[in-house]
Order: sequence, then C-alpha cells, then structure tokens
Amino acid sequence: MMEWIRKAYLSFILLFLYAPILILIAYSFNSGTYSTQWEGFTLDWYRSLAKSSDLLEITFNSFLLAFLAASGATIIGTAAAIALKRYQFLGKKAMQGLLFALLMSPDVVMGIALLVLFVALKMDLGFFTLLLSHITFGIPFVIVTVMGRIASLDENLTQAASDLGASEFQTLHKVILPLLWPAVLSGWLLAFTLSMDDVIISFFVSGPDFEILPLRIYSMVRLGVKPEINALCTILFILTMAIVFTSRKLVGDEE
Amino acid sequence: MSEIVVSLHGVTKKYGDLSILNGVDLEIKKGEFLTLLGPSGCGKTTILKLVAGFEFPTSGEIRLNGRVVNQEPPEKREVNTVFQSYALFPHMSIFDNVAFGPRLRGVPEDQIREDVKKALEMVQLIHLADRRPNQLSGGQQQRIAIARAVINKPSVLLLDESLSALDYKLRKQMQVELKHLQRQLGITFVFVTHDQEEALSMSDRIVLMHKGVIQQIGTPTEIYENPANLVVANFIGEATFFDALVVDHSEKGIALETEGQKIHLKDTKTKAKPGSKLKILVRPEDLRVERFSKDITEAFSFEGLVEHILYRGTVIDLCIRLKSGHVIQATEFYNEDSDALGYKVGQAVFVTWVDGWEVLLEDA
Repeated sequence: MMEWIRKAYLSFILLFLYAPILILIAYSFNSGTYSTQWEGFTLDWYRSLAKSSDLLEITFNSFLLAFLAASGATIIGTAAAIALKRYQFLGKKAMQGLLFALLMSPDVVMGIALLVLFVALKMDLGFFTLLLSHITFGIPFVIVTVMGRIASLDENLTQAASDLGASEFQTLHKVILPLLWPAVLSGWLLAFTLSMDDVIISFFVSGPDFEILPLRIYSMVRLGVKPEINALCTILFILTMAIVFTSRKLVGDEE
Repeated sequence: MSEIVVSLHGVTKKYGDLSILNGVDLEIKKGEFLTLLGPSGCGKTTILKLVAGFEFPTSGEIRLNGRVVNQEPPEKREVNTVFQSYALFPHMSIFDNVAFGPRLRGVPEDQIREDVKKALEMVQLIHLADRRPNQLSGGQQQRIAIARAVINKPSVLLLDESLSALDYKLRKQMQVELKHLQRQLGITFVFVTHDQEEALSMSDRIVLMHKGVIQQIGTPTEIYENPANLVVANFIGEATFFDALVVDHSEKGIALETEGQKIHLKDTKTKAKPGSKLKILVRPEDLRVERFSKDITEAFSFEGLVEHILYRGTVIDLCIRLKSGHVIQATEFYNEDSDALGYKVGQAVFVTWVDGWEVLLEDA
C-alpha cells in the first residue's frame, strides 16, 4: 500500500513538471496549423524550420553568445570563488554579500541597470552589450557552484602541495583546478543555459544587428504560437537534456 | 655533539587573544625520533605547523638548519609532512602522487621513475603504483603518504597524528615499521600524538606539552620514571598518589607524614620546607601488596581493604581502600603457581613500596 502511494505521488510530481513540455513536443508533430486538436502526425514543421535560414542564423547567434558568455563567466567566476575561499583581502565580506544580492536581484532591475550603464557609456546596443550582460549575470552562479566544491575539498591537499614544494601557482594548476573541474564544468553549463534562455535582460540590452533566439521566439509568439515554434522548442529541450546528461555523467565519473 | 636541525626559541603563537603556544624553547637533533605528546589543544600540532610553515609564529624565532625561517613559506623549507588525513591527491595515480615533489624540483623523468620505484619498494607497495588513492586501504594510504614525503629527502619529517586513524593492530604494526624506517633513512622524525603508549614505545625523546607550555623533555624512561611535575605524572602511565606533609629532611633522607603515619624515605633531592605539602607518586606496578604484615620487609606499610579486583590476564589490578578512606590502585603479577587468585574482595591487606621507587612532587 505504502509502495503504491509512493509511486503514485512520484508520478504525479513528474507529470506536473513535464506535462507541459510533453504536450509541446506532441504538438510539434501535429499536422493541424492553428488548432489545438490532434489532426495527424507530420514532420512538416521541422522541415519548414530547416528551410528558414533566418531562424537558423539566429539560433547560431544564440549558441555563440551562450558559449562566449559561459566561458567568460566561468573564468571570472572560478577565479573569484578561489579568491573568496582561499585568500583574505579587504572587502571580502562585502563581496560575498553583494554576490547573493546579485543572485536574488530581479532580472528587470538588472536589465534596466545595464541599459542605463551602456547608454551612459555611449555603447551601441548589440553583440558586445549582450555578451557583457550575459557574462555579468552568469558570474554569481559560477561562483556559487565552484565555492561549494572548494568547501568540500580537504584543506590539507593544498597544504600538502606547498609542503612538497609547489608554489602558489603550481598548487592552483596541479591540484586545485584539476580537483575543481567538475564544478567548473557544471558552472559553465549553468551559465550556458541561463544565457540561452534569457529574455528579460537581453530585451533591454540587445540591438537590431544581433538577434538571438529567446527574443525572436518571444516576438513570434506575440502573433500567435506557430507550430514551427513548437518544433524549435522541442529541439532546444532535447539539446538541453543532452547537455545535462553528459555533464552529470562527466561529473559522476570524477567522483 | 649532535647537530641541531630545528630550533625554536621563545616561540609564541596567538590567535587574537587566544594564546596557543607560550614561549616554547626546543632543539631537535639530527637523526632523532622526537615525539610531541600531550592532550588535544596542548599546542603540539601548532609546533608542527610552525616548523612546516603552514603557520607563522607571533613572536620568537624558528631556525631550520641554522637559518631563521619564521616567515618562510612551506615550499621553501626542506621539511615534509605526513598529514593525519594523508592528503593524497585523489586525481593522481599513486606513482604521480609520489613523483609530485621530485617533478616540481625538475628532476629528470628517468631519475624520478627510479626514485619512485625505490620509495614504493621501501613501503612495500610497488604493485599499487597505477592505482588511485581511493582504491587503497587506510594503512596503504598512510604508507604512500610517507613515501611521498621521504622521496624528497627532507631534513625533518613531520608526522601529524599519523597513526590515529588506523585500527589497533595496524597501528602496532605501523609503529614498528615507522621506527624501522626512521633508522634506515636516518631522517629526523617529529611525531605528534596524544597516545602515550605510542610515544613511549617509539621515541628517542619525548616533549610533553600542556596548555601551550613544554612540561618536560626527556627520554621515555626519564619521563616515565622521573616525571618533572604532577601534569606529566598524571598524563603518562597510571599513577597512585599519596598526599604527604614534610616533617623534616636531612642528608639521610626525608621524613613525611602520610596516611596517618610518619614515614622516612631516603630521597634527598626534594628541598621542600618542613610543613609544606607533597605528593608521593608510586606506579601501581611498584606497589607491593601483602596479606600479612609479617611479610612486609619495608619500614612502613598502610593497611586497607580490597574493594575491587580486575583480572587482566597476566596481571591483576587491585583497588584498595586505605584506612584513611583514600582509594589506591595496585597492579600485581598473577601468581601462576597457586590456583587461587590470592585476593578476595573485602580482604585486609598491607600496602608498601621499595624505598626509592617513589617520586616526590611538589603539590601545585
């Protein structure tokens, strides 16, 4: 009896979480154009998606942006996490506090703040402003992920390294980074996915020259959900799942 | 005279207002097995960290091979540490762990292969060279940690509670191996432990610490037989104490009042004034217990009743309540010749010791 309840409960939660996505995936194969009724199986929407060079270019833009932003955020975030855990410096407490403020602050606030900054600096809105913004909101997530891993490391390991003659840099290079890399990778993936689906901040800081996928989808949806969008979202969902599974596998192997 | 490898002079370490070490003076000789012994929080591990360079002294001077190293970082010191948690690098093979030090020093790879092989043969784990640390048992990890340290031929090897994570049997075995290794390598070992038995059986000299102050430095025999004060006597071995009052002393010995009796001992070292208090320390195994007062050959004895008998195989422990109400513990060898245990609970006995086997300590 208990077993049955447990299974039912679990199924209910999974259904609650994934039902919308499953419906979306199903409709991406629906041959009816506007209706929410099932009118038969088709791959037309995927075909028309493939033909739309415009959408493909925008998808590429998004991947490029996410890749660069995640890499930037990971480099800065990892360095910051190591500094926060390993060294004493002026303003360390303040920095930790601000980090969490940044994590919690509403995207609208971030978006407007960045926009004001770029305008004040007379920067043209486009690729660079997007990249800088995405790096900015990615950093705290990387820091938090990497700091968690550092906290779980045996402090004696770094002492052992310097005891055996390693300089500060050698300790970082040969001991700390190799041990942190699963967390660094997780942080990168987190920053990557955050960048891939950000609408709000990007809305404020993007320009007409560099379009990205989330914004395009958003503007397309305002005119009604087209079945191509269902297909596109399905592809994005499957890609995300693939990334998550590979990263889990990589991190899992390490531990 | 033997060479001094490490010396601490007036070393003090404070964390804020909290004082961990208070003016420690210590000289460590080349090639000796020195043990820092004391209860947790006594500052023994702090001394280790100061010598290794993980911590810097608040004041005082630390010298390593003659040069002052107060603020020198660990990587510059010809000292290596075996950590309590072993601290093997989990992302490297055993070979790479042991090769870590030589590689940093730029030793050619051919030479490294040979050195690592030798080091692993020394700890008898050459067959595990390709494994990862988490595939090894605690005892094996311990030995790898030692190999990883000694391959660098340090002037001093520091061992921080290195055996305490091992089970009893393995610990005994490692004690013998460590001692053997130390003789074979001729490296100075500084060993930190809270286990007095370990300290007594392995060390050339023991430094007994309490609350950041060195209480006594001496060979295991000196520490056990002639504890410098009550702290040492209480920490090392089992001890039975008698409260005593000094009546008089001369060149022939000392007259004391204890357990309601006046006794005379031939001790002439104690200079306590008449009227001052002393504690007489006698090791339980040095106490003689007789059933009849006629068997007592000493000039004094105290009468009491057996309260508990603890059978421990080769010996028996007797808890005896003396007439004064003071309960003492005496260890007697089990008499193999007689079938009976020889003692019964509630039995009247007489307790004494051979004059001169006691230690007189000032009552702090």
